[in-house]
Amino acid sequence: MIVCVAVVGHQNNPLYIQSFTDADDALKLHHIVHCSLDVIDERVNNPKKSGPTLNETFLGLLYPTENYKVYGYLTNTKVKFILVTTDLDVRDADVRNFFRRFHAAYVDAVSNPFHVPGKELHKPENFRIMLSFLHPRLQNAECREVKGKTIKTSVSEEISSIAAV
Amino acid sequence: MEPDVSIETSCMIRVAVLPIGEVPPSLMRDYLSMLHRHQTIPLSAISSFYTEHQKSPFSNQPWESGSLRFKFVLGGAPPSPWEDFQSNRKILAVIGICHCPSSPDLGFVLDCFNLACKSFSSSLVARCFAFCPSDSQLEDGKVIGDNLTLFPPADHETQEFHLQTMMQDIAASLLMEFEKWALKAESAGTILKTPLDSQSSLSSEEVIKAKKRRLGRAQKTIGDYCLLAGSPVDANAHYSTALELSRLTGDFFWLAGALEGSVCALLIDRMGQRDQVLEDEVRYRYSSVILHYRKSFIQEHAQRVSPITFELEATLKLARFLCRRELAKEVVELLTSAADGAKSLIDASDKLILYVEIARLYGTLGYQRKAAFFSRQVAQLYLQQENRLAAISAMQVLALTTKAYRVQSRASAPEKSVAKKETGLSHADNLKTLHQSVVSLFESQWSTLQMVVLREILLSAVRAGDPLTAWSAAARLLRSYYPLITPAGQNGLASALSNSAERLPSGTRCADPALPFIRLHSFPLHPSQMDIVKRNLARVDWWAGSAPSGPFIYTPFSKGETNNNSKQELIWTVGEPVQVLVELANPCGFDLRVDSIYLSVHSENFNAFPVTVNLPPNSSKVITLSGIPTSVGPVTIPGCTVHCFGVITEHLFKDVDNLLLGAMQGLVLSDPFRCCGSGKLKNVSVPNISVVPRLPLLVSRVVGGDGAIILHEGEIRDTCISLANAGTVPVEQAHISLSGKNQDSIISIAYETLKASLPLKPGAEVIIPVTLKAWQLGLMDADNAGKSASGSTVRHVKDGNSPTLLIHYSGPLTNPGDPQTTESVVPPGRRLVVPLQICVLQGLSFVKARLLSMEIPAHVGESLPKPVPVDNSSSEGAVGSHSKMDKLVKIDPFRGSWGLRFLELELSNPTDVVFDISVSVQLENSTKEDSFSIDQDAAECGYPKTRIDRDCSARVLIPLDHFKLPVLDESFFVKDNHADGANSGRSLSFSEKNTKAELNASIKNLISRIKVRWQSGRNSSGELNIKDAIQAALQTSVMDVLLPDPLTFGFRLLRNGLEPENHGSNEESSIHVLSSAPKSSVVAHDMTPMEVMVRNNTKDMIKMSLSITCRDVAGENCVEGAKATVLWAGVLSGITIEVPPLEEIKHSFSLYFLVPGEYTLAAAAVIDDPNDILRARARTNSPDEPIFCRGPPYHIRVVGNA
Repeated sequence: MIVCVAVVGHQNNPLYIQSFTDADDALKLHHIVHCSLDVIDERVNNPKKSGPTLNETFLGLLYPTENYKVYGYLTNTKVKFILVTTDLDVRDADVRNFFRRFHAAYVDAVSNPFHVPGKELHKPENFRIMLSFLHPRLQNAECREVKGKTIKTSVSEEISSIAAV
Repeated sequence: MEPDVSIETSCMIRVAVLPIGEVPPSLMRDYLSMLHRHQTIPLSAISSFYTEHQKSPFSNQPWESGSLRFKFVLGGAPPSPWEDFQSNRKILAVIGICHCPSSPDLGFVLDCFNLACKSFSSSLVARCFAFCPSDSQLEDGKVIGDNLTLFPPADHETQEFHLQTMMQDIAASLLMEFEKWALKAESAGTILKTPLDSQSSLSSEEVIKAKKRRLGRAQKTIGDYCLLAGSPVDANAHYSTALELSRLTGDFFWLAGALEGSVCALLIDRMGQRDQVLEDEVRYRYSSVILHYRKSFIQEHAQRVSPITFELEATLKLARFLCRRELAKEVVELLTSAADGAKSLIDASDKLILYVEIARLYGTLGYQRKAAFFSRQVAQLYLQQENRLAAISAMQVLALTTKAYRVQSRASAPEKSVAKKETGLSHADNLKTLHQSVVSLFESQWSTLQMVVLREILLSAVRAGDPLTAWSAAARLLRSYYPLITPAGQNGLASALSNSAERLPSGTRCADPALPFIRLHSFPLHPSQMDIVKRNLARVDWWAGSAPSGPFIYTPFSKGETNNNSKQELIWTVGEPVQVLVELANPCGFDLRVDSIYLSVHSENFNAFPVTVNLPPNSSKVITLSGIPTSVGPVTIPGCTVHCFGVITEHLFKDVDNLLLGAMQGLVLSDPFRCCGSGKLKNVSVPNISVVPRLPLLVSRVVGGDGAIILHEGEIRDTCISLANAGTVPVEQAHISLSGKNQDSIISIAYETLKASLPLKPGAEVIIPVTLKAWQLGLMDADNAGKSASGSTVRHVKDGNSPTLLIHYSGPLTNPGDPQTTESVVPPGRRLVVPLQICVLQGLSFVKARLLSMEIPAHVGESLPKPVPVDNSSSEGAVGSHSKMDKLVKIDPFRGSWGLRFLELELSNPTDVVFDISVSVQLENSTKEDSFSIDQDAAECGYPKTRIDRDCSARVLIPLDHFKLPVLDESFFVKDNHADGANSGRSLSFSEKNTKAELNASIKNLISRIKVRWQSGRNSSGELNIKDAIQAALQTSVMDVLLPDPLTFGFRLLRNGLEPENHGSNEESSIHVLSSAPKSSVVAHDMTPMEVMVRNNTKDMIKMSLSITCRDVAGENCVEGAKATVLWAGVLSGITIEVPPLEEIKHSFSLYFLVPGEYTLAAAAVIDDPNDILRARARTNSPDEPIFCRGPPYHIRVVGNA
């Protein structure tokens, strides 16, 4: 099962992070996505010399961690797509195909004339709709959105409790 | 598990280092660092201390190349249950360190040391090093014995050498002990156990098993000692035996241990020659090590003890060995599996060590984010321990992660910013840092992670009791993530800040700014009163070409605009307060009190004045920060120093600029200024500011109030401007110039007064009179003024029509007060801008001008009328000196007003005051006839005043009879010719343009002599500027006004044959004229002898045929015809005469009036063969047309003789 997809800008700024789990592990997934940038950076900086991979956008399995596998994809504009999945035996072709469709959805989203390049993608609703092929649950992803916020609120609640100490 | 393990760990001799007695920590650190230099003791250096007691078991010891390695453990470590398994885990030696001055009793020290050594049962060698002993202690030391080594006070080098010898001694002793141990181990009886082996009483089966395994284990242990003794070849031999044996007995755990040892031996043997083959070998062997450790896992012991730690350690060892960029993938795999193994670790501290190691390895690999992730795991483990020391550790570990998460404290950031401040940045550097900061803005979007990290730092710092770190973390959290924190959370952070500050000493500085956000708003330029102008010594007008504000000398300042030019330079003056506007924003939901804020200047030549500000929630405020430059030099203002929440922080403008830049690009959560409702502001850059020495400072004031000077159009008034030197340096040079609109409204400036007062001492004042003349309002203005004529008076002040006085002034060239000013640097001058606030009200308005002619016939008297022109002296004589009082237009009855013209000006007064108009005409004094003119003052001919009431209009007549020229000559003919344009076809030698210009000049000359002055009230007076109007009125008939007729005719009564040829003597003649008035009547039925005078006004002889007519009241010719009532004697018509140029001739005749009454005499002439001049004057069109000249009519009154 896909637990998280993310779009990361060319300056390693997160553009879109969406998790699809019921458990309250958004923070963990954030960390996984964040850490996967290390691997992507490394792959980008030390590209394999062989010819056919020169224009390869699919980065393959970035690293397995705990119960997840992290796959990466790098567009020509250095925008990274990251996929976190719990499926342990995934065919590369499937992931490749997924990323191709994801890329198309991203291109559609940023083709919106009102989209500011480099800005977060959470705003355009249609991106979410475009991504709906991903996961049936994405269609009612509104609740996920709320969850993203709850992390932040819980932080500030804890802050108030620290202040009390 | 142990921290910092590597493959080579197996060959390190663990030495406990214990402080004995009191050792100050700093000294302890010194001693320890001295020890650390001797971590490797070459075998070659040991040989002198080494005595071979028996045959060494280390037969292949490399005495030339080998070495012993030490690992110093401060304070030692408790014995590990795995000591038998890996001998390097044992504490094999103890070194005590004693600082003699703090522990005088050496015996006591020795006791302590021995006591301490007891806890290290495995230790083979113990030495106590006592540093800095006194002489008496040296004496004692000799008695006490071997274990205590005294290091006599000496220089550092000697001590080092001494220590080296001692270490070599220890190494030799250890080597001998290892030999002993190795020999002993081969014999039976040594039982080697690990916690994996069953601890309970052995069953018979197990005893047999253990006996079988014993040999292999012994071999492995001997191998360990060989490694410790620095003999890898021996070790390898023993390990191979051990491998064989343990494989046979299925002792996988020891097998793995032996394998590990063999890899270490391999590496030591191949020291310094690492290649692919070796690496592959190590990789291969270690994978089997890991495999075997895993195999040795026994389910039944899983609750108590597990070899998993060894598996993980082996994994880490391999990872560390391979840890290179090229092998990143492999290392990552190893580390991932190690991290996965963490779950099966029982001991929390094992987990901690594992995570620390993983984080370190990721860090070495360049995977900063991974490293940060595991560091955070470490910190969380520390935080679980709930004690202060663990919290401190957590805090420190988290501080390491801040860089990867881009939330680091500015204190930990590299010190380049400091260097920047000192050196000043080049543009390229600036761009670079800007780029870096923008990149960091991009990465700073992982707000979820960043907030969590900062929160944990805050939590750990609070727990660790480190208020400064807590403050800094809370500040970073609040400043960067306020939009994501609920108001309650913001309040919590605010109280966390103030709680932390309470525990800090007052005046604590923190590198991380909290609130408010501060940006540069503007640098108010010098008020125009204080402009500084560079002085150009090469020129007299030293201010020229150096106006700082480009082409706009005045406007930019008067509007108070800021100039955002980046090249802009500001000049401040020592001792004169300056101001900088900054904008503060508090985007949080609590009241923010900034205890003090002032400009932070690093150049130390500026005294900044702090202010206190209160910022309500979600608000921004522009405040003025001021200060005084104290010495000459450049000033840089990187930001503000703020004392808020009890801590002093520096807020850099650059940071906020970057933040706003990021906000513009959508990289930052929100723009703090915008969310406070403050408008968008252009990026204000800090200009180059330099401070110049003290300068004089002039302050201007308009005497009689600073309000606008209200003038009516054309009004002339004197005003006084007072200039005072408010500076501390005298003004030595000053120059006044004009600028702005309507400069010609300033008629005169008493420049000499200013000159005379120089040098103007500090505090001195000079008053300069200035004469103003109000300008005409333009059409638009007049329109406006008309609308508001009765209303506001201050309307025109702001519109910038007023002229401006520019006063450039400067102090002495060298400033005696400032010794540091070199001669090459000339203190600049200053410019004082005195805007004259003149408000011009609409005054009299001119409606139209007309030229009127008037014909009043003259009476025929006994004398001829004065020859033209009637000059000033005659009019003077005629009216007498008292006539100045009432200057009415006098018409000589015997001359009439033939050719007299009036210029009628129609004026209206739309204002609410009364105007008195006086017209004066300046007479020309340069004609020939005026050569005897007496009085120059009288050359102005005035007329009575005309009063125009408000909202009334009036007509003013200006007589124009004094302008006739005496001679009609060629020059006028030419002018006339061209002015009319009638004869333009004629070829003339004169340039047309030239003549036209001459004509215009003469018209102007005429006009300029007419002045219309007005007076209103007691003290306002002026002049009406109606030249254009007059010119328009005169344009068409100027010829008639200016030019005389070619011929002048005059009549005279001849009485008693008297011929008074008296027009040479004016007085006589005038008296005669006055007195002869009653006699001039003619009696009917009497022969009246008369005379007609014809004067030729041209320069040519004129031949003409003259005729005289006499008409009665009805206009009938009464000389000819049937009903003639006048008889005559002499010739009256067809008189052919020639008049020489500029002369006159007379023709006498007599008339006999039959009927009394009024008669009119007129003379007329037809000119024969007229020349061009005459034709032109007569405006004839065809050359054949006769030229007919008619004289003015003369009245004659004939009375009855009854």
